[in-house]
Amino acid sequence: MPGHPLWTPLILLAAMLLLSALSAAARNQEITLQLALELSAEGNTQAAALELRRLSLMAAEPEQQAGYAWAAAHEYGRADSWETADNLLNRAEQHAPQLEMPVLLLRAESAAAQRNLAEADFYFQIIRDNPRTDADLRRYAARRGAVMLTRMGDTTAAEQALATVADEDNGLAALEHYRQGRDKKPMLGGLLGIIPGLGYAYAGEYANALRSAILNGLFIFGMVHTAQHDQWGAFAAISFFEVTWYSGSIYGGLDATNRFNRRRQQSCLDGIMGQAAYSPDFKQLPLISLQFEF
Amino acid sequence: MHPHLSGKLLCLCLLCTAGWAGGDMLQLQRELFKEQQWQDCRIECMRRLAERTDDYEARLLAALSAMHLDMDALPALAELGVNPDVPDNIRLPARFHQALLSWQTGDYQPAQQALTEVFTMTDDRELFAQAGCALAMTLRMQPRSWTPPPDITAQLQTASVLWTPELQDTTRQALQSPRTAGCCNPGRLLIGFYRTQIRPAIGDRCLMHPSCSEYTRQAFARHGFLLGIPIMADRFIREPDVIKHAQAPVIVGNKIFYADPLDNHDWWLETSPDH
Repeated sequence: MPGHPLWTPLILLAAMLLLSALSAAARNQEITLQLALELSAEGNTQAAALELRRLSLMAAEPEQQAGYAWAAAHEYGRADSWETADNLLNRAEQHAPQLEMPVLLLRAESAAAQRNLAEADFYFQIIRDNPRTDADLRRYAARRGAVMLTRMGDTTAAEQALATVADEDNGLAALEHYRQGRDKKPMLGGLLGIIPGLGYAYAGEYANALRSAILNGLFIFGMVHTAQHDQWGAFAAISFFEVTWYSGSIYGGLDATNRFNRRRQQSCLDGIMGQAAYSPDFKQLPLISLQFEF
Repeated sequence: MHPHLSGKLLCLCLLCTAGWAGGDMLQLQRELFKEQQWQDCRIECMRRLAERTDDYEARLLAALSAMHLDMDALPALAELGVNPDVPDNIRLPARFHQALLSWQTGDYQPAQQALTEVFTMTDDRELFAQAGCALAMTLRMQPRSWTPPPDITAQLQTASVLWTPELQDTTRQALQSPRTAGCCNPGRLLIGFYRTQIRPAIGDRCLMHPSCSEYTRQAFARHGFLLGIPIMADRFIREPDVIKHAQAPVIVGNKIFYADPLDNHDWWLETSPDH
């Protein structure tokens, strides 16, 4: 009963314990956030992600949980742990649907990192086509979407993606330059590699071509010489190495041609992206605020 | 209100406060374990155990994470596996993994006895299938080390319908001693020979990151011996070019290396149309 002599001190004790627990929890969160920020700043992204994840579990409000989960996903992404990042994005999405755009952005980056280019383009397209999206985010998504489409070989769609936002002349010029050039044929590179060094030479790697030709020439000479002198033990040992160099020449022809094509494409992708980058402002956590540079 | 009742209410209030402040204390550890982030999971479990030493689930997760990190988890698992205070849902998985580790070290009879105990006592369907499958395999591999009671043999025959090919593969690998696993792989032998016999004599001369032997090991592991050989030869031919152009320097310790990961040279072998 309220009139009971024990009642008042008991209520006071409960209130004090509650306040003390609240204060300890708040202090604990503050320290954990500070630690996460420091770890993130020094590039220890995996450890920072773990602290942010802990904060997400400690936070009382769903919006706070979602904000920290998003930040943890971002850090896991920086650490190249995209599968774990995806799990945390699910949590962020579940707790705060209003985080849709930042979540979509990280989902797109995750898909791109896992080489699901069509999926990444799909997410970037949603961001780009949403009229409520912030202008900087739209511009970034247009460039990233164009990158995905170029990597998939659809330069026309990439051009259209860039055309949805203004002032993308550099990207359009890079695309045009890429279209005017020609890829080399990897199969031809491999076939030319049958003549040691020629596959590398086809891809424009003349130093590698010379090394491959010299090594194969020396070992073939060694094989012939040992066979002529009936030195079959040495012949077997030299043959093993020659098979290695010879197969390396064929593989190298294929790889060098693919490398040539990739370099050419990368130069175009760099032209499309320019200096575009984004980073979250972790000082505002658990609010998610993205800062863009172009 | 009766004073006893108000006291009970107060206790309830305090418990709620403690529960709210603490939340689900092992959620993070369980998530990390599920994601196979063994190092982080182990550290988080140790953090939990520093707060409460009698958290048996944290001990189990820490021991299993240590096992996946190739650390000695046998004493921790053995302690959990024989402790009568530990609930069966934690004790029996610990006993199961203890049995697997004992088997790997050659303690066949205790391993088979432990597997029999888990097989007959567990209520968990998955653990029942795992323990039965492991027990049947160990009895096939070492039939003389221990003879199970006749009813166990009959139960194993009945339970064999639960052993999927995947479970059998996993169990076979789990029972394989790390010392003998893959010893017939020529690629592993070649790398092992270089690392133990040649490298100590000539020193770490490779300026590439990963080193040529590590690159070759990855190539053998990913593509097999036959394709690994040309990938290795291609690396040797390209090496001076990579060092000359110095496009991706990586600082390891106080030395500069040049990054040339295998991913950059085998991505086109993958078949996904997205690549």
